[in-house]
Amino acid sequence: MKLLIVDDSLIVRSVIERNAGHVAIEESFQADNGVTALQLYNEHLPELVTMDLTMPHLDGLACLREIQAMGHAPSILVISALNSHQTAMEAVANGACGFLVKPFTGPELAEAIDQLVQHAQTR
Amino acid sequence: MSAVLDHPREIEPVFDLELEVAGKEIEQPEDRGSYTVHSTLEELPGHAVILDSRTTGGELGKLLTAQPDLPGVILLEEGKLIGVISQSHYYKCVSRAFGREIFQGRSATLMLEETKDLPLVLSADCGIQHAVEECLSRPTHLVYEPFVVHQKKTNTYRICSFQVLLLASSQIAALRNDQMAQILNSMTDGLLVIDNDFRIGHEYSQAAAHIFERNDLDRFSLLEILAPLVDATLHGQIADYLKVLFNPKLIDKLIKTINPAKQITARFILPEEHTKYFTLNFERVRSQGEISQVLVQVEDITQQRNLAKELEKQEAAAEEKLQLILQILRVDPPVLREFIQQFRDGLAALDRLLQAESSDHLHAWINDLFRTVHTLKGESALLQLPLYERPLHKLEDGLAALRSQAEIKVEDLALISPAVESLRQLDDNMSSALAHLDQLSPRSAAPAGEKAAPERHGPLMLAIRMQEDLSKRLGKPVTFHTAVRDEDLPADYRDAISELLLHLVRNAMVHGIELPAVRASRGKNTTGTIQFAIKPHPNFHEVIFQDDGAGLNYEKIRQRATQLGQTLTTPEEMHEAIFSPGFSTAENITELAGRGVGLDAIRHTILQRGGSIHVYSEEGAYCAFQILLPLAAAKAEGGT
Repeated sequence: MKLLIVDDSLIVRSVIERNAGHVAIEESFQADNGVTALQLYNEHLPELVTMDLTMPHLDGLACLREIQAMGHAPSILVISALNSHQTAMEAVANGACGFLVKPFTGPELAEAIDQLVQHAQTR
Repeated sequence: MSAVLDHPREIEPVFDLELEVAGKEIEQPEDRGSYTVHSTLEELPGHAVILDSRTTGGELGKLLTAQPDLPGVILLEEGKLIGVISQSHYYKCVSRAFGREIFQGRSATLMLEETKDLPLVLSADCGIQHAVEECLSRPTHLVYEPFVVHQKKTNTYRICSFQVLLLASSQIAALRNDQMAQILNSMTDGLLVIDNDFRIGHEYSQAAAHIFERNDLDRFSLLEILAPLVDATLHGQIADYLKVLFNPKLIDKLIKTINPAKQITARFILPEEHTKYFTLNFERVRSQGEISQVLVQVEDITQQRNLAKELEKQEAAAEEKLQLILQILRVDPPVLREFIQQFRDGLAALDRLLQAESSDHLHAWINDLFRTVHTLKGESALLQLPLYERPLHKLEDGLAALRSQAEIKVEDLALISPAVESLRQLDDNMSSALAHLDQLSPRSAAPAGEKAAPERHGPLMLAIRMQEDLSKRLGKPVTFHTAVRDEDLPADYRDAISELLLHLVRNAMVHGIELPAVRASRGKNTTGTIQFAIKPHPNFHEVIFQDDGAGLNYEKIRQRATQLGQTLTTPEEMHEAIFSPGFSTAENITELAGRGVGLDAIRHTILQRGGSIHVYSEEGAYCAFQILLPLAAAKAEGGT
């Protein structure tokens, strides 16, 4: 499986990559903004996506909308400092299938990635 | 000879049809409770009625007719089970045309040839519930047929009726229901189930009913139950989240993070208004790819919350007390006493205000109290008592807000009520802190006359610190000249001198000493001076306090007196007047001076003890106070 990590923070991206050590993940890509994320998504069609919501150039929600429009329905984990109920609901409406709220710990992240992989495998 | 055998190995042909049914008689299922959810077929009553192939149809008929409750018989051949002839099968065979004649004299095994169906044989360790399922999965025309229970340990067979099995099963089901009900009643967790319309299921725990304070939960949806309890925004968010919960595409564990109901504030109106805090946890139950229902765990966290709050409050109070002790240790006792007294007077006045019944004169009243609070705040800052300063500041803001209103209604006073309450709390803490200190104080324990250690926080130190503080605040540099040390203060006048000194320093700093620019324009040194001295005399102490400030402004004093309806002519009358209550000429009533109370009280004390107080002043040059205090002996002789 392929994993696309979208987050504008290099630190967060590398922490995610380090904790996404699931055997099923063969390859991962990183994007620091929505535009790059869409390009990489188009190119590789990953089954798994972790998505930050607040980013420069095309924010996470818009990015989710575009990905959903492409119709491949990947398993998407929103990793964000979520503070609005409305945003969470919009993310669900646009294809997010789980949330991890920043700040998170390594084990929480690893567990979330495992859940995401399972989700992608059983669909 | 027995027709019925307990043991297949001992099987003997049965010809004598005066049969006894050995083994278990037909037992009516025992009273409810004899089965448990773990019961197996071993416990199910059955009949070890076993015949061998030599038994004729006629003999079988006699047996079955004699024992109408017997579900059937087991046929063995050389110890091996070859079939079962049930009551219904027997009657089916013999009710055919010439059936009785055909089967009468022939081996009962012939009847087995009439059917291709094999008997259902279940092991004795098979659970009751599982046995029901096995029986029910037989072809429709066999569903009600008896079945055979094989005890492997002893290699014995019994025939059991399906009806008896069903009775046992229904007992177990009832038992399960009872257990479930018991669990739901006794569990401390609030537990309920909702379907995809969010309707609450019939089974819910008693604790859930208790938390929501109603016993009809199953008549409503969870949203209907929550609607009157929580605010509309939260209700909308929970509604959204419930929809999310029934979305099977989402990941169970990874949507808990967005649960808006982790801590709900619920307001109940009946029987009386009260608030509860609880959390809702949701567990999704999946069935065939869909979310069939959601388990809702309701936990009342009011107590934990209140406990935590109470603990916080206690800790804060303890901390406040400690801080108070640390802070008041720095303040000279008489000064502190005076401050506390003034504070309590102020608090009493505030209490009277809060009990006001009409809005008449509220404006003037609040103006007055604003000044009082403002002064107290200034003094607390000066005495470095931030624990007083902060709440006083808050209250001052509240009073200022009230003051700025065109019209003040009695209800508006509620605005300052919490601030007053916190001051009251503070005063309580102060009382208890003082009580603690009293117990500890070496001063109160030390024998009279013992030489006290040099004081670091005595009246003089305090006066000097006050002067320094005021210098900074007012921008008036001053040098304080004195040779007096705290331990030089005459013991019996210590408190009076201490209070007097603070007043005089404050007066001198605010009214007396001019700003450097003014001083420069008057040709004076820009740094002012204050002098303080105590001279011993045979019969009295002479206390001198002098500043080189602006001196008394007789014109202003006269004007002020006129405002107050007095006519003053001589300097003596004017000196007298400045000590009278309510007399202040400060243009701006600041937090630092202009209170016009206190000085008269000190003067009163001095006069009462046979002393006197004199003022000397030259406008623009200086103001001096001379206080004469009789020695204890002289006072006694004087016999005032």
